[in-house]
Amino acid sequence: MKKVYIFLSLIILISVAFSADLTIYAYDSFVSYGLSAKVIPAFEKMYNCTVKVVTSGDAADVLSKLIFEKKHPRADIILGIDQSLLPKAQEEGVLIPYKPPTISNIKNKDLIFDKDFYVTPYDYSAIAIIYDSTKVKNPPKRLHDFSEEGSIGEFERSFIIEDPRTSSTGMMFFQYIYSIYGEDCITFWDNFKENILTVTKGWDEAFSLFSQGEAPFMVSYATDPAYFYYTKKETKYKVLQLENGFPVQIEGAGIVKGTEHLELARKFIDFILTKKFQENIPLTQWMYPVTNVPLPECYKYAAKINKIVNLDNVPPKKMEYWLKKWENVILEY
Amino acid sequence: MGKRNFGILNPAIVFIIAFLIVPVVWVFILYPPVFSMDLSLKKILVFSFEQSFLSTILSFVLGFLSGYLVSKTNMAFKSFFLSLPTISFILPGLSLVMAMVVLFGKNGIFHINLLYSIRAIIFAHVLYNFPIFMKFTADGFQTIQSSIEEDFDLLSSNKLQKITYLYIPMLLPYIISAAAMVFIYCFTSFSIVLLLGGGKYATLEVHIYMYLKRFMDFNKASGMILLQFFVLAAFTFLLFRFKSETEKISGEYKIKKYKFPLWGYFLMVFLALFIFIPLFTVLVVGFIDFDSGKFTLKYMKELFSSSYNPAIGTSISRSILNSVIYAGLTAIITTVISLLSVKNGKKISSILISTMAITPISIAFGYLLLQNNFFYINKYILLPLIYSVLSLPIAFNSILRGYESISPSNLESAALDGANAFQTLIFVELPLMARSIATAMIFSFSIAISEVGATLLLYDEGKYSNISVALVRFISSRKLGEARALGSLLMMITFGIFFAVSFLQKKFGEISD
Repeated sequence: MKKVYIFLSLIILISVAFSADLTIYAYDSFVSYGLSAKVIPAFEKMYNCTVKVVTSGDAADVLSKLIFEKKHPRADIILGIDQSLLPKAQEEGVLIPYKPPTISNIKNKDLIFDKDFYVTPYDYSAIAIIYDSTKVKNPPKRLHDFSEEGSIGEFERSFIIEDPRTSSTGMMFFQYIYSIYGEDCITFWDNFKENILTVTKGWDEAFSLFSQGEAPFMVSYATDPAYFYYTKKETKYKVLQLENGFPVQIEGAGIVKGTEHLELARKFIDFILTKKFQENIPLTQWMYPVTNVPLPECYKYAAKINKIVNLDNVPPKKMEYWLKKWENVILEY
Repeated sequence: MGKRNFGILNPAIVFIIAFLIVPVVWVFILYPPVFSMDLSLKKILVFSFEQSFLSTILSFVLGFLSGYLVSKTNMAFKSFFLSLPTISFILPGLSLVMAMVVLFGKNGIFHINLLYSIRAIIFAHVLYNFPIFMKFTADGFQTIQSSIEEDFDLLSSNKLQKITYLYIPMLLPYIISAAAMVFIYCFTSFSIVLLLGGGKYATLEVHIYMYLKRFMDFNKASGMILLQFFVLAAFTFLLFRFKSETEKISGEYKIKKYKFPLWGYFLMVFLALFIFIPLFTVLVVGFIDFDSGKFTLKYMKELFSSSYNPAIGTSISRSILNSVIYAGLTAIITTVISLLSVKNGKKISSILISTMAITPISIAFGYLLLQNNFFYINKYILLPLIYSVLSLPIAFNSILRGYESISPSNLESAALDGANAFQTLIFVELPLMARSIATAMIFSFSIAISEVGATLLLYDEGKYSNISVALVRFISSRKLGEARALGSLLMMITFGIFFAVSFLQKKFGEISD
């Protein structure tokens, strides 16, 4: 018995220290889509250092982790903070501001969504509704076309959307609907729900079902047609061009408050706006770079969004209230 | 084992306190629970109860009938059936959903109106869980002595009476154990409920996730965790209280066998269509090119083509090896702890089973906080520990049944021959419990190899990736072909495991008989 307790005590005591020069917290796809492997070795060589990339689900997971560790931060840099996550990051005070000298490389100053420079943007893309043009011959031009009377039969069970409670993409689409309809958004959802085939936990499951032809519409990204062309020479998937426009998601990086490697962390923020980092974004992240680097040919298939919807009118603190309202409409019981 | 009695210091209890209670209580200390009952939460609770209840009842019907055939007849493919619970634990939900889409989806082979409804949720839950009932029922039938059954046959030839007055009462402890387990699995189901239910349904786990990730309101997340714990703990407590009152029979005896009945053939056809074809589909989809519809090995080759796969941050071989290491360590830890704790089995069985009321995400949340406040634990230690916490109730129950089946006369004979406690353990108890030990190890191994929720929350570097993580990351990297191939590979590993188990069980079974 004594041995058991010794064994258990040993397990408790064993710990492993982080040993890299710079620790970056990132969402899974920073590694899984290949950007990490393309840019991190270059940074390591440039500054003769070691970088450890720690991934954790999507960007919301990463910020959660950072907040957990607020008192004893293990990371130096966080990647993936977008407009919807920035208020929480600021409220929790987990970042410190830094304005990189390379900020002038950003082609469109509207992309600098944090004017206090807690977060520096590095890529962006629009959330959009994509569709299979072989199945949808006359794509609607207005969001309202999906929710008005008479549209229900035509588009019944034809949408795959992501759950705003569990998915960043789903949450952004939810905020987009709120920004268009305001407090009437619940009426939209009440009318629209018959068009929903299913709601998935994350974007990946939705994409899996959409790729298998389960539904003609999916909430995804405006660069998807470029992806389909690049990987399969497939051009049937297109982006709905709605008069309402779509919101743009801008992803940024920030320096973690409490970092012990401030100089190197600053150099990394400078680095994300350099050509080496930016030119690798389009074919790995399937997002647009924020600086003027040439785009691959397949990006001519990526949709141009004719109107950008600003999500500034969406009150982050009221989202819980509206999500509950959404649940009451969507849930059957 | 015969002389060990640790009381409150029972190793299983100490293990659970150290590695389950401490992290979860830590969550409540750091983030005191906040409750807010509203209409959507009520809807979620009502739905969760209803679908769990229906899924449990239907799993019971299929499981009971299959358990009868497996145990009371000399049916073909008995080993295959007995090993089905392994598949229930290993088969990832996403692989099953992909197979169901191939079979029943819009472009499916059998286009029936099944997916994206409550029927689809219950279908998937029954597919997953009926083998648990079958296994428990089959074990229960082993305890009905042929002499009792023959006496009953003399008194009454009515089959319904026999089921009502002999089988059900004798099997009740087993049925209740299985029911508790299945109910908890269905109540805490997450992705399957969202995805197959067409978004119209959700479980409490979705809310926990929402408060953890979306709002980062850890106090409300903590409140949901506590609410879920109370709901499930109350349920398991009631069931196991009932179980302990009804549990009178233990041991393994010579049992009466019957001719394979006519209804058995209908059941086999039903199972073949709705259970085995989906499972078989998971096995083969990795070898189909969905663009051309032809057989292909390209996805399987791509899986192993490089020493570093960016989608998972390491090689697939490393992920498989990690899975085997985590699962192997889990099997060893749970078996050793169960063996050390089995003496007070009945008393602690209820405590252990009620730990199933705490879900993997809640436990992982606790470990995240603990690691931040105290020490960072290497994943090769942390993950097997968490998997052990999750699988201990099942492993323990299996070993407990083996322990209870040892006849006191065997121990007395050993004592008369002058064997000490250690000799009794090595030469009498362990061989007699070999089958239970093998079952316990396999269940622990299976749970560990397929766990996703806690793993995804805790793993942070590619080098710690296992098969479940790799599967999720292939899907999220749009590599559906590789994901299907990995699902097929996992099914092959599963089949390999349970053929090995069947062989071992047969071998050990002969010893214990």
